[in-house]
Amino acid sequence: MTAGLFFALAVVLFLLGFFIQALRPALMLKVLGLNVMSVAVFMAFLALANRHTPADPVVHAMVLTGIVVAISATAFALALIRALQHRNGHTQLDLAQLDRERVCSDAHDCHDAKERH
Amino acid sequence: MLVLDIVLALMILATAVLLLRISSLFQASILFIVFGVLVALAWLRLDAPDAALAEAAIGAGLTGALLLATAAQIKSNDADNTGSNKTKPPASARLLSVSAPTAGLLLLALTAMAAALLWLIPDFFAQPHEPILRDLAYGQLEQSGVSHAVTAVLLSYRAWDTLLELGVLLLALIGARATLTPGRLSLQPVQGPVLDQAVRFLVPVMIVIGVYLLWLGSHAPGGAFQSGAVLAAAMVLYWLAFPQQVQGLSDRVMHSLISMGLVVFLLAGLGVAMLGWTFLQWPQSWAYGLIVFIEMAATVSIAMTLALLFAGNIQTTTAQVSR
Repeated sequence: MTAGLFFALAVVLFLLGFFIQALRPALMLKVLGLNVMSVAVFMAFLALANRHTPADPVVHAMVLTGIVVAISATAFALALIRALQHRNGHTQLDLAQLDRERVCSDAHDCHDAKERH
Repeated sequence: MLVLDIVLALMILATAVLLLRISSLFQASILFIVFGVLVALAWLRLDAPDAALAEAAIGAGLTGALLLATAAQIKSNDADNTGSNKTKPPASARLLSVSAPTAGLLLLALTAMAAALLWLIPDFFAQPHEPILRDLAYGQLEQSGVSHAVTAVLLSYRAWDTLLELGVLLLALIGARATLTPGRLSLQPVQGPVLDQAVRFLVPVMIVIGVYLLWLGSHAPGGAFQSGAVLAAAMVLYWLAFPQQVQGLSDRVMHSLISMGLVVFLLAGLGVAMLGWTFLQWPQSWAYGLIVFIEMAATVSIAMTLALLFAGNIQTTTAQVSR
């Protein structure tokens, strides 16, 4: 019953993590959302491993490896974010703004786009 | 105990929902640390003490420290940004900063993903398959040289994965150091006696615990990664209290320490291959000694790499350190 509860929680956390990284414009919060998604996957794995007694050690080892790889990727992503901050002065990914600034090949389209926004 | 599980699950859910709504980077980092600790507790309830140790030390502790350092640096760099050629940062942290078509696509993605994933849940309660790998792992445990199954999987059956994992850590550090920017965070030691005295007490204790965890891994939950994480945390704490020590490492020492784990592991694997066995196949009489030796080198590398990932954005000037 414990394993089932945490598996369901892992599913919901995965969706929540996806939406954290999709909806927050700050890049650091996107990294956080990806981390939440990773944690959700690990929790799903561990819940699956817990269906047997004793628990499955191969799955535990996979989760351990996953945790270390996740922090490696996060650390590198944060370094890139710091570099972006230094280069651009901000670390927001505003999709609406990017839509407005998009390069268009047809001047007519650009003109319409500028008028709409 | 089910009540405890339900309460824990609700707290984890609440923390994640809060992360969805918070826009302050500092608050989000603190929330993520809380999230990580709660998740570690949940994994304890799932009978996964190795993963819980690793998540508490690495996922909550070190990731939290990295997030806080980055949040502080982003804020301080934002404050000195007065140049007119830099892009003006966009408005605020609205929850939905996407245009209408993108929002529609996101909603579609939500429905599709939710449907697919929620359908998995009743599948979970179906009859599980035979745990073949688990039986294999426990069956060959005596030949692996250690008596803890997870350590055997990590360093004997799937030693190749662990070797590559050390490589990934090294790659991340190389990448992070390649993007070092001039505007690094200047770390000023917190005034007052609390941090100083706490660190003088905590760091030796953490070193002992770290070394103990390394030795413990052969017969109980523990091992190189948890040990390396605790030692890295000890180094981070030490640097927080005495930031001038960050620059005390010479480049050559640093480079040899961070590559030691990968190199020793690789040489051991190639050594047994040249002596007649296959790559990474430890002969049974030497297995325990080889595994402990490799774990010692790996712990040093992991600790140094994780601590340097944190220290990479710390800059100290003698003018600011008033000790």
